[in-house]
Amino acid sequence: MINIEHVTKKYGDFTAVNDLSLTVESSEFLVILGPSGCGKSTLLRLINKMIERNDGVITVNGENIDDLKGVQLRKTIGYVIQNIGLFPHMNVYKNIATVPRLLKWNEDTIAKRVSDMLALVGLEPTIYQVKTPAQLSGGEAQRIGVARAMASDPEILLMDEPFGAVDPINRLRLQKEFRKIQRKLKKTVVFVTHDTDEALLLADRICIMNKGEIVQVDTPENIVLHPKNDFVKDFFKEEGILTILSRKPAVDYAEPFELDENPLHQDATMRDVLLTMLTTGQERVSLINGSISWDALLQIAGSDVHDSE
Amino acid sequence: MTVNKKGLFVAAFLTILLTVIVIYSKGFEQILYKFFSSKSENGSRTLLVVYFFEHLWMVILSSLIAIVLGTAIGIFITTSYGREFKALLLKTVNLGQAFPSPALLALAVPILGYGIKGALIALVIYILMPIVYNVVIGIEEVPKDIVDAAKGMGMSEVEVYRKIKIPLALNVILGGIRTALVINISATTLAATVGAGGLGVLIVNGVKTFDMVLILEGVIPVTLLAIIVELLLKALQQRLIWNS
Amino acid sequence: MITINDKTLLLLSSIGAAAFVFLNLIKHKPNRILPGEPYTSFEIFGNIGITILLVWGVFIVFSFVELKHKNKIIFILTTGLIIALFSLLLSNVEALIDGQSSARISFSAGFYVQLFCIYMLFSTYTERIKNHTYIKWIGLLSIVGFFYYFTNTDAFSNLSLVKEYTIKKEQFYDHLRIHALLTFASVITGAFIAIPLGFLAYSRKKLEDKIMVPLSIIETIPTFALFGVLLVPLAGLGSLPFFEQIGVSGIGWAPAYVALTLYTLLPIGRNTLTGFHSVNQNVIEAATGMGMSNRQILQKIELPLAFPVIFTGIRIAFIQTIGGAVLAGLVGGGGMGTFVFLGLGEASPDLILLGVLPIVFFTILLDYILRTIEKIIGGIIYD
Repeated sequence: MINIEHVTKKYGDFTAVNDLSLTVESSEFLVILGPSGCGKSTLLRLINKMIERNDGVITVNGENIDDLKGVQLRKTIGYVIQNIGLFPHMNVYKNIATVPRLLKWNEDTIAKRVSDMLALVGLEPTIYQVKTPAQLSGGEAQRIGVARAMASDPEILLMDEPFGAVDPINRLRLQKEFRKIQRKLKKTVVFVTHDTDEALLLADRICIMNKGEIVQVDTPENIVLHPKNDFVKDFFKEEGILTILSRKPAVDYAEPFELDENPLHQDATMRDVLLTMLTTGQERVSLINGSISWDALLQIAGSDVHDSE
Repeated sequence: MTVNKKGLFVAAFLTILLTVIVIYSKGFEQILYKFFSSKSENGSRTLLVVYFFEHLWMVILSSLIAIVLGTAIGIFITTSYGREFKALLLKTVNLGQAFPSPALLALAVPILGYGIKGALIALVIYILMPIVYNVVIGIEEVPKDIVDAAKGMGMSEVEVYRKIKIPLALNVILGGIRTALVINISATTLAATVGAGGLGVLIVNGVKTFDMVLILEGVIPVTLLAIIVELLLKALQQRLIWNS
Repeated sequence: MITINDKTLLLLSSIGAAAFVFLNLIKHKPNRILPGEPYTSFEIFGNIGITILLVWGVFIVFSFVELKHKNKIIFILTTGLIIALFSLLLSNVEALIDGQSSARISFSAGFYVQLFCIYMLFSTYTERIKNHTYIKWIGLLSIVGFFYYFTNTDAFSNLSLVKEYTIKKEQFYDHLRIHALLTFASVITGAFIAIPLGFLAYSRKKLEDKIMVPLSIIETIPTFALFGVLLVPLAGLGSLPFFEQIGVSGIGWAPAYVALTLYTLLPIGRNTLTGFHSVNQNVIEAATGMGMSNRQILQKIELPLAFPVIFTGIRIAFIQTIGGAVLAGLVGGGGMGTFVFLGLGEASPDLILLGVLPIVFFTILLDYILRTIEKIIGGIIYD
């Protein structure tokens, strides 16, 4: 659990983070979303003391971070940044082993850990651990970055636009895989991005920031359906609902009501259902395992997406 | 890789050649006498091996001092404590480049006295700047993201330098050391003009008496030495390029 | 806790103050040959001299505090320090010399160290007061005016350096001319050889190593060794009638000219190669696609785009050659090196300085001029 209370960070006359309070629950996936320069990266770097704040209190798992040395604190928190920062002079094994080695684990444990981590991110350990960063593709490098951050099994992961430099197709795959990993390992994740789709896909809660202050913190559904003000509304440009619907597989919401017509394909999402309704004028759309009505669709658009997972 | 191996092969060959010349300096002299007439009397001079080791010793000592000192200063300038001195460093480097090496040696003498001590200090000053400069540039060129990642993983300032910054800057740092060493071997030849000995003595005397044997006796070992050092350090440097 | 506000200022002013207190300022020689008697700053400047130490002290204090117009104040004080240092020195050595025409004054470490610190401060703070052009110009003009005024009086004439100059005035300009001639001739010859070589290495990939490796080996040969080794072949060449007529011989300008030219080949050749390599392949492809012939591509695309890099090579060759030409003095080729090695032989540092100072001056000047031309060329090509 991370507790941020009345934290302020100033650069000269510029206030990057202004009297901000926020709590991140254990095992929660919190996405900090905002335009560039809103202070989201600064906030992240304040948590692991990469930069010192001017005012306020931050506690990590109940411990005031001022009582810990920055170096000690950071060894217990995973950190992934946009350009990954893999060490080019070390192979994949050594990269992943960095923090365990700083923590002076014994080498057998480290070797086991490295191959576990590689397997976790979907890379064949024997092939990949001897590769150098220069031999990796962008997507592979990003997986290694995630593996490295989790190598010492930190409870908390801080991620600063970790998938920003990956091409769109790989990005979506990485996002989905990472979401699965996070669910499985129950890590507390603070994830910074400016990509609304990414935020909606990944987050348990989204924290929207602007000009160093929090505008709204809530579940993706509530933020999209009940935006607090025009800033939040504009941020999703009304398309947020579509994004949410596109993350929901239609088959999960089927009602046991067979229709006598061609069903939508198996991977169809709720967004496809809506499109079919709009283009055909039907009030009910056929699926392979039943059908969905317009009323049900409206209800789903407003309910909690995470119940389905 | 092939260039690397070829360079090492040539370096090994030249090292053997140089060793033979230094060990059998008398024989080497005899061969030169066969090709060139000489006014100097055979065997009345100090042996080549003495001049060679004087030269080598001056190069090694001044280089070691300059490398240790230069690396320390360079690293200091890249830390948060020393960052402000960077502008000063660049100004000094620019000013220093305007002083030709014989001039620097010549100016050091009246202040520090004739002989080896003055020459050594002048040599250190002369090669210090390329070393410091490359250390600073090398460390500053380490991508910020990588340093950030290392810090974010909980490395202390010292660990970041030891495990990340210095290894990654090593290629550029070695480039500076290579330049410095080659300059140093060349400049040390001039140490003879300030009475510090070395292979330059043979060349100076040879030029004065128009004696080709003397000149070549100095020129051949000193040139071999410079080329060997250049090749070895280049090969070492090529092993340290990460991204290819 | 005391916080250091300006580390550069602290470093320079501490060194300056230490040099004032601990190092000898000048040497007074009764005549040219006798060893001199050292004097410290205190002994020369007397009581008024404390003001100079005071200024160093003020600088040290300033480096701990934050002031509103600090940069301007330091710039003005530095300007004052230059003038004060020289005028106090010149007016006080008069008494030391006491009319003896053979007596002379030469500077010692204390003077040079203080001068270095002041120079660094002056250039640092000139940059820091960028927006106050008028203060900068007043500062610069007052220094120039001061030196102009004092050169017109004979205040400098007691300085050993000036005495050496007065004695060797005619030789000085002769050697300066030779030095310049050697430098320009070598670099221009080098450019005529190295640019085609660099282009050949670029256009025939097979030849790249065969051309560049020998050039870098030449660069590795110690300068003085190359001068020496050219002695005999050139002496042999000089015995042929034609070469004898144009003055080729084993010693003199010939080995210096040949050696210096050889040394310019690598910087110019390498930059030519890099320059051509740096031309974007897409641009060449586009040009080919537009129907340009190879010759047209070379003339209109490759050469103009590579030229700034080639020119940088020429600048590097110039700077290297001005300094390298000092060695011509050792093989009887003339130039400023003549004074350097003469000074070494006579143990006269001021004679060495007479040779070195013009080199330093012209190196800085030429570097500045060539860099400016580089910028102008860049502007013409890219606009």
